[in-house]
Amino acid sequence: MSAFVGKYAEELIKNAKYIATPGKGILAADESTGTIGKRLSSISVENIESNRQALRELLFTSPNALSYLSGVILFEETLYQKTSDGKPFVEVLEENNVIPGIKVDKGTVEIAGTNGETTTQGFDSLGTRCQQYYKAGARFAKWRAVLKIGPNEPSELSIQQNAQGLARYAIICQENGLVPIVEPEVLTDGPHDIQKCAAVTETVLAAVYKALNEHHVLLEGTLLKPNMVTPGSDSPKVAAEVIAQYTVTALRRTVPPAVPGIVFLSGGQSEEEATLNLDAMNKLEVLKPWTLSFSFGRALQQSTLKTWAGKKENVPKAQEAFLSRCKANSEATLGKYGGGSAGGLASESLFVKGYKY
Amino acid sequence: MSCFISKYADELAKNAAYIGTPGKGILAADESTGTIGKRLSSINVENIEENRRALRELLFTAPGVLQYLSGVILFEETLYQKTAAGKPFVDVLKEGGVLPGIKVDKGTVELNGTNGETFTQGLDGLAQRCQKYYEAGARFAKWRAVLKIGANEPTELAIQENANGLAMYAAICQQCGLVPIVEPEILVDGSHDIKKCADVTERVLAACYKALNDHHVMLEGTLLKPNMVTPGSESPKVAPEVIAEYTVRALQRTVPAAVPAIVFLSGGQSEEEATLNLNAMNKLQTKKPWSLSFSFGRALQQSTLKAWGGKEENLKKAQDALLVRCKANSEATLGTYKGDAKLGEGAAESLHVSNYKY
Repeated sequence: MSAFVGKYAEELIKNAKYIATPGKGILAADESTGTIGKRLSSISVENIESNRQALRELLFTSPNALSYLSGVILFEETLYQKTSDGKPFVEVLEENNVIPGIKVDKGTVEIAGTNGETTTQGFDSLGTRCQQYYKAGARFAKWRAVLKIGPNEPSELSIQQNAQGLARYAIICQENGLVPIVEPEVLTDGPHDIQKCAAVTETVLAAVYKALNEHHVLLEGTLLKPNMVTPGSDSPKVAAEVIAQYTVTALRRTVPPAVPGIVFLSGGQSEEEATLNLDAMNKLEVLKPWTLSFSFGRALQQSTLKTWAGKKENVPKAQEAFLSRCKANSEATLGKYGGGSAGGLASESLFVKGYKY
Repeated sequence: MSCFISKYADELAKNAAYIGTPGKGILAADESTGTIGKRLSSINVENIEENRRALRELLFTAPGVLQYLSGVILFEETLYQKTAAGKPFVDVLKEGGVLPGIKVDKGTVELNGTNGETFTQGLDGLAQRCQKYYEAGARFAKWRAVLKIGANEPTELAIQENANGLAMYAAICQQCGLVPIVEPEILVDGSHDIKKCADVTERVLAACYKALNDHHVMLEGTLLKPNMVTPGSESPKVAPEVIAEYTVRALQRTVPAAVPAIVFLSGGQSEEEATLNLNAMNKLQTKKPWSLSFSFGRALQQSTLKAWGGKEENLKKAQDALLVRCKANSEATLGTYKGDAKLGEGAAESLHVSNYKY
């Protein structure tokens, strides 16, 4: 094979396939300390460790919510945290058949000579770090590459740098037993139309899979976390069915069938938008050789955060809000979402220009 | 889209999907004059136009055969030939529900500084030629790129040049209404094992699909004609199920679902081998978002040629032999071939010719 088949190959394949189970998806709870700080401050909660711990405990102990999740992405701090009863979060997840994952990149830096394009850091000692995370119970990883659409963007340099970075990260993960989620996010920012987003997404994904092939990555042991194909944030919105059509066409043209699952990022979409779009994709009558699911951060947590507002007495209601989004998205992965789990909060756009984690 | 939407887009997608109809496949009857000469001489038949015409008439008018074919690839001369009764071959095919195709490459030339690796010619004036062929009734085209496995081969240069050539050819075809069959053949010659073949095939196919994307080719309006993944010609043979597993896995790792069908070349395999391998692939319970069919030349015509021997009185025998192979391969595309095809003389004969040149 051109793929590297190391000692973890079977486990990687098994875990990737499990994460792609129809009816389940991923909660992206891997906000860095800085980013979670912004979320907490939006509900007037202090950004201290105990509050970060309390929020994640709220999420991971929500009754019945975990049954709709196959994985949760964690930030490093969270991987080692426990419930207030002293039970490691990792155990809470494992006991509920949810695979713990870990964000391993160290953010983006600008590529000199470009118009604000970036590359992602995090290679130093990545192998060693992956080994440590594996020991701590993580079984998949995530690395976010970012591209933007502009008159001259994304440039060939940016596409190559980010594709190569993702491929290198992916093979290092596989060498150390972690299923790499490959995330080449094309930002929604801009006045471009949906056709432009489709063209860029296809070009980027083609480059990504060429790079993965060059680096001997075992595709059966990976997942893809792409953007949906949508009009730019400054352009008029389109129906969910249109987004579904363009997105699935782009994926059919670029993502090899060997990839078991595609778990979309929500970008700046509201909770309800993201769910409706995912549902429309799964309703589409066209051959899809990978499952289509979610890896949502903001689009799973927004209402929950607002309902909690940092107050202990709000926890049960906040957990209900969380359960509601998890269930809705689970149905969306099966093309069975009936709509209507949108409270006012669920329809709120979560778009932040030039979004940085 | 990153692909160029030609005015023929819908037609291309429709024709490509039709060629991939389960139960059907392609007869590759596009041997150049030189190559068909070798075939004819092997049965002591003179290589003159009338004999070339007679052979193709035998094939295209064989009773019951056209129902198992979705396409026939022709050489330029044949595109303009007629039956003895005066009916254009193109009409015979169309009436039989078969799309006429046309070989558009002009053979291979060596890449300077390599160890016998090649590049394929034929881009000059290709658009004009394609337009002419479309007017004559052709609806798909074929272009054969060749790579070999060796100690240092295929080189990155050979892979890039051939992938790029295929992509340029494909883009031009689509602009002219012809569905391009993309054929990156990795020769079976060599002593390598099946894993090596899989490795090279995956690398080559990945490069091809990157190039197709770079050149804005609409994948829904293309077909792939790859080699099966097998051990080298000088290596011990393996079971069809093994070939099926390695081949399908290689395709799963590289061929996007937008491609409607994959039509295998037979390389030097015997008629029966090729059918058994194709059958095994279609029996495999795994993700196959494209249909798996055949585009066989030698592996469909060998027994037919031998039965014909160039003699008019052998016509029926020869046409029966062709029907047997077409039906067998049709069943193989459905995974229902039971290996019970009446084996004509030569059906089990290896058709491998070292360093085969068309």
